[in-house]
Amino acid sequence: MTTARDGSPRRRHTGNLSSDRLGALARAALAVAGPDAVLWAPRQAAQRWAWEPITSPDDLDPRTWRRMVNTRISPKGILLPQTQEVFSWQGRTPKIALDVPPPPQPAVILGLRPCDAVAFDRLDEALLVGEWPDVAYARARSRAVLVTFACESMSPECMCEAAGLSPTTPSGDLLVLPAGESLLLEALTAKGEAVLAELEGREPMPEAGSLVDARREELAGAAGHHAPGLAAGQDWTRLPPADPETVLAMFGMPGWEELARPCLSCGLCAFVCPTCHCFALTDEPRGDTGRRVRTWDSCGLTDFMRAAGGHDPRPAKAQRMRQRFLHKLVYHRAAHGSLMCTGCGRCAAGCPAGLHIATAAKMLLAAAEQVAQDALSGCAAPGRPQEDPQ
Amino acid sequence: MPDAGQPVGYPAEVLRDLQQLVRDCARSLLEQGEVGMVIGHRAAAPYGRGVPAFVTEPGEAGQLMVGPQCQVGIGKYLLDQTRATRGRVAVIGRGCDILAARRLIADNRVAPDQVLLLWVPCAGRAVPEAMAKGGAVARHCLQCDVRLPEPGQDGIEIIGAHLAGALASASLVGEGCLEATAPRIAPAGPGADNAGDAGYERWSGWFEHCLRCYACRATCPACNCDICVLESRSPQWVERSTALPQQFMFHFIRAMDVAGRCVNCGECERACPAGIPLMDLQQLVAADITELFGVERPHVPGEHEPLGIFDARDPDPERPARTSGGGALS
Repeated sequence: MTTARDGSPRRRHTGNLSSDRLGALARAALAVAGPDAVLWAPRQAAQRWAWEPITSPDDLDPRTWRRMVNTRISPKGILLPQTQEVFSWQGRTPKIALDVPPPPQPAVILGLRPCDAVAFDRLDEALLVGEWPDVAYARARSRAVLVTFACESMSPECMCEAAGLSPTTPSGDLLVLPAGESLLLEALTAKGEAVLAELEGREPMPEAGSLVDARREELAGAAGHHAPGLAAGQDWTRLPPADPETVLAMFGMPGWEELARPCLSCGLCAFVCPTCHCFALTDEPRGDTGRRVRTWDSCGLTDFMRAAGGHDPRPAKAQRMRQRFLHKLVYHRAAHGSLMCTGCGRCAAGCPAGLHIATAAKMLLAAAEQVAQDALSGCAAPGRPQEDPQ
Repeated sequence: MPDAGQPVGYPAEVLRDLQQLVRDCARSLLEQGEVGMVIGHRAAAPYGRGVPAFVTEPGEAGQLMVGPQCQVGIGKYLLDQTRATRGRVAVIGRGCDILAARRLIADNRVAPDQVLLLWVPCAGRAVPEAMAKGGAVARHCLQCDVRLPEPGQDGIEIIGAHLAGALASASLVGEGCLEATAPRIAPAGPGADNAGDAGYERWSGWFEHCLRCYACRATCPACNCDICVLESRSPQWVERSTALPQQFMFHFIRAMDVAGRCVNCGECERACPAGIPLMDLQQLVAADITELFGVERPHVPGEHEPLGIFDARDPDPERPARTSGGGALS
């Protein structure tokens, strides 16, 4: 017995599926997700890989995914849409009728990379933990089935190792390790178990425990997923815990101004990011009817923090950028214990000004190190008032 | 297929000489106090791509680079940096960077005596995705007519004029380029069917992928307003939801706001994470300006800019007497 990712005790459940039977896996996942479930998978369109609803699962060919490192835009929008209606209204005071949109169809997300699958765990921490879970996201998330595909190749943009992950990090409900003409499967949650059981009912297949272990080791060993400027093993999880003194030192680093100089204050980094989840709420009135929508927002955009009355606590782009990087690398970790960056590299690849989160991370590591050193040398410094004057 | 790391278009020795000239020039400008800052490019990860460099010390001039990896347009930084820097600010850039700077000057956003423009010949910018494979020239670079410096312009100096000849004959299109520059959904440019239902179909197909991240607006040198009608939250002129009507509003407002002021730098298209061929919109407008007003190069700022001036004799494409006005989205 072992413990699954969702905490349920279970026996290890693996399988070995021929790669031309991916359609059967998709159908099994759809059966588990529910009768009206929608299948999402990466598809190459206009030379870019994008997440698209798939109506014919049997046409999916996992061999084509070997050419894909990852999709250009993250899959977060499948469960956290860019535009989402909160409610609509009709009529005028005192006779206003409110209407809440129906829950979304359950989603099967097939072909996630580990960085993106882990990103949903981060979104869970941000949106579901605590007294006020995000209702819309909770509904979409609880019904979704996530099938992760380990990476067989990488791009210069990849840096999952910097974020403490690897090309085979167990993530999602079911992990798939492609190995030649085989897909080696391992259930990671109760939902993953159900998918595997459903699949076995359709396609008898052998257990593959030792093959899974061997292939995982093989793929995880593929070097080079660390961030530029960082050596292997020197990942951002080494950033120290966020004690007030260290956070203040990071906050007050003189380098923010220079780092932010190229920033153009667009929202690209946040919008392609698989873990950014800030949103705006706006009303869209149309005469006597209308709706309230929430839309993706970004702390990098001008006016993001502007309050009623006009005050903006972060008017300068260096302040906005500091917020973004500290939230990714320090604040979320202080609250939930994990980095808010999964190293997918989309922000760095897409930034029109060529800014890189690794540059910020390096500065933060240096600032934290300085605090640690000062603390040490401060203790030993001569002339320091003695605690005990005797 | 060029070797990995072998820049398309630039002969290696030309690139080396050009780079040296740029570094020497920046160093001497800073040493002599001619300028307080030089904006250029420096190499950064991934790909060793050229990102903006803001050099204020002569000793830092050695980091400057030129070449196809320098994707980021740098002209627009004058807007911030002339306000933040003591002394003049120099831009060492390609034709598109120079036009971007001239745009800011023509729009009265930057004073001409605050800047020094140094024009470096260019053999095209690489496509980011293709850089790991050895580079491919961006689509809009193939139509560029300011690759080689034009002498005799006020306030503009030329670096490496003697090397321009070597770059003039360099082929922009290597074998590796074809894939990356192929049309993406429909044929690009004014010749594509952009009118009526077909035009609506075509552009709907693109706009539904728009993330409204404002990268196109943020990178555009003609989008130089301090408060942007598209980004304003209060009042909210364009709704934030990404339904198609709002997407059309967003892109058409932008296209029309920069109409006649677009410098053809291709920054909007380069920045777009959804890969929307935004330059096609600008080229439709430019083609109309050429046809209606006889302006040969509507993307060159500071010359005749017919859309910025009211003239009772302006042609009216709606009037049946005139037969011009093709290309427009209807």
